[in-house]
Amino acid sequence: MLSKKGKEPAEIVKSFFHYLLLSIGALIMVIPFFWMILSSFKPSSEILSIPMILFPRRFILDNYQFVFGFLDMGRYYINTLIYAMGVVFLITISSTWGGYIFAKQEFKGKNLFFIIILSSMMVPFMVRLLPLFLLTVRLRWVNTYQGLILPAAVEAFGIFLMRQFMQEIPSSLVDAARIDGASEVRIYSSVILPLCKPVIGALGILYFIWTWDSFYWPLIILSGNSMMTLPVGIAKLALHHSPLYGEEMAATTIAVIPMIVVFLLFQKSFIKGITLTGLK
Amino acid sequence: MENKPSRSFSRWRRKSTPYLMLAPIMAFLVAFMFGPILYALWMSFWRWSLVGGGIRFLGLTNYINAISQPRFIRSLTNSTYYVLATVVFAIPISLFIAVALNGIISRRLRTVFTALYFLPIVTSMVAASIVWRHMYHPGAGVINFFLGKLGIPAQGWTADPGQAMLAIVIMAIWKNLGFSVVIFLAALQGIPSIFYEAARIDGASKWAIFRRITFPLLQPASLFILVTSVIWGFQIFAPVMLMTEGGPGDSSYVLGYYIYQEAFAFDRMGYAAALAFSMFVILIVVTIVQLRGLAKKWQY
Repeated sequence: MLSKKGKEPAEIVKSFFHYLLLSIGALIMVIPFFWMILSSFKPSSEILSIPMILFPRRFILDNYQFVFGFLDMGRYYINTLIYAMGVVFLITISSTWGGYIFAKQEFKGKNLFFIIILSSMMVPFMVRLLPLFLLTVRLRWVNTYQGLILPAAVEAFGIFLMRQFMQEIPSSLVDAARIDGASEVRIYSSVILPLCKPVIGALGILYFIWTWDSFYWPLIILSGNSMMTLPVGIAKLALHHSPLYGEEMAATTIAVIPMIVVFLLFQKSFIKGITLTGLK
Repeated sequence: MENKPSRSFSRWRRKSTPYLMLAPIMAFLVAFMFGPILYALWMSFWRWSLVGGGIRFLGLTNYINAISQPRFIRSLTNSTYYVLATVVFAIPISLFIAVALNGIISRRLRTVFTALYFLPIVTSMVAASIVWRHMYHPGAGVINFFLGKLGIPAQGWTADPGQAMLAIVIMAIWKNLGFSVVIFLAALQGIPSIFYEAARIDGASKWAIFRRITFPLLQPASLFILVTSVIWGFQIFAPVMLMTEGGPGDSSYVLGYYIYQEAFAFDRMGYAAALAFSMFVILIVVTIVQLRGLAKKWQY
């Protein structure tokens, strides 16, 4: 064994504080989850007891029973999945297609078009909200999947991201395919897309997380119980006249835990999805 | 001779191809982005209600009304407060955490810690708001319980007009922290270690290394986080609706919630459009100032 220099006491103290601080921070990050899960098993007498009771004394499942009776959680899950997958699918296509145009096509006004598209990133959703709502009403898309998904099908951010990535693909590959007589659609699908797999995955995960979290638009255009997404469904419970804390905690637990499990299984891809977008 | 027309046709085709390719994207953006933006501007000049009263031209009245409404001023101040607080506190905190995570030598341990800080990102804002509303409960909530352990008296939090916004800000920092932590962490790991070694050989102190090497190299990531924080911050909605409903009184009204209320609770679509447009103008100005100012300051 190579002789390792022993750590100086000051170094040891420092690294102790380093891990102590990190652990305290991490504890703060997870306390709400423990609180949520513990409270979901408490009867309401314990939930509102003063002083607070941390661990349930009487462990009950009534809250879960109530949630499954009052909310259609399975349905909300399916709806949220359809919503998120639909948005991810369309955004993947529109972003890669747009990215390909701006990275590998030459035409007059290219920069102008690009700036116009990029400028839409600054537009808060609330500005488009009312006209979009009127449009959905006019199209009779209220309370439908197309009304939910289509307004989010093209995102400037996605186009920007894909363009940044595709610029690094050598143009000679594209030119060679063009000389061979391949159509643009063909080049896009069999030259460009295969090279973009990692970044497509990252983009997809990012928009999946965002759409899963999305609340404003679904809240406005969904009305029937059978169309609701998870955030809208559990918000419906939370906006009940009298607070139903235990039941709310059961509902949020059901809504949150599976996503956490998926995240822990695919942590690397999730984090890559976020970082790729921030570093381009 | 026969070739000529077809050659010019093929040239025309080659030139027009990019525009044809762009057409579906532009069509979508016109229908769901640029069209609605212009239509919102148009709506903001009208008294516009869906159920009763129909529409009537008002000119700038909606904008003038907005400025004279205490609730609008309140929403604007609160939104600004929210954005400033998340920028001023969340960015340094997440940078601090990222530096700490980056200092972990064991790769496994770093992954575990990063996962813990990232966890709230994969939950929805709605779920987080519901859980925190309960945690903020003045008597039975876990937050006052821990404060009590530290010897700090119970706070009103969402029940106190002076603290409702603060309560929302704290929750939102907790919820969104992981996003910037992960971006900062990746940026830190992207800095070539040779820079640090060179500085250490030159005898630079740890703080000097951070200030002169790490910090400047983190600028693209910081700028990205700053700009997205401001744009997202002005759109905050779910926590207000679920934790305080704008209250107590008007104390935690923010623009997103105010617009929602005016449009869908009071059926004042034109007025709500004027509110949204005012917010848009403010956001454009702020973003341009940010990009300009920072671009100038950070040119090395």
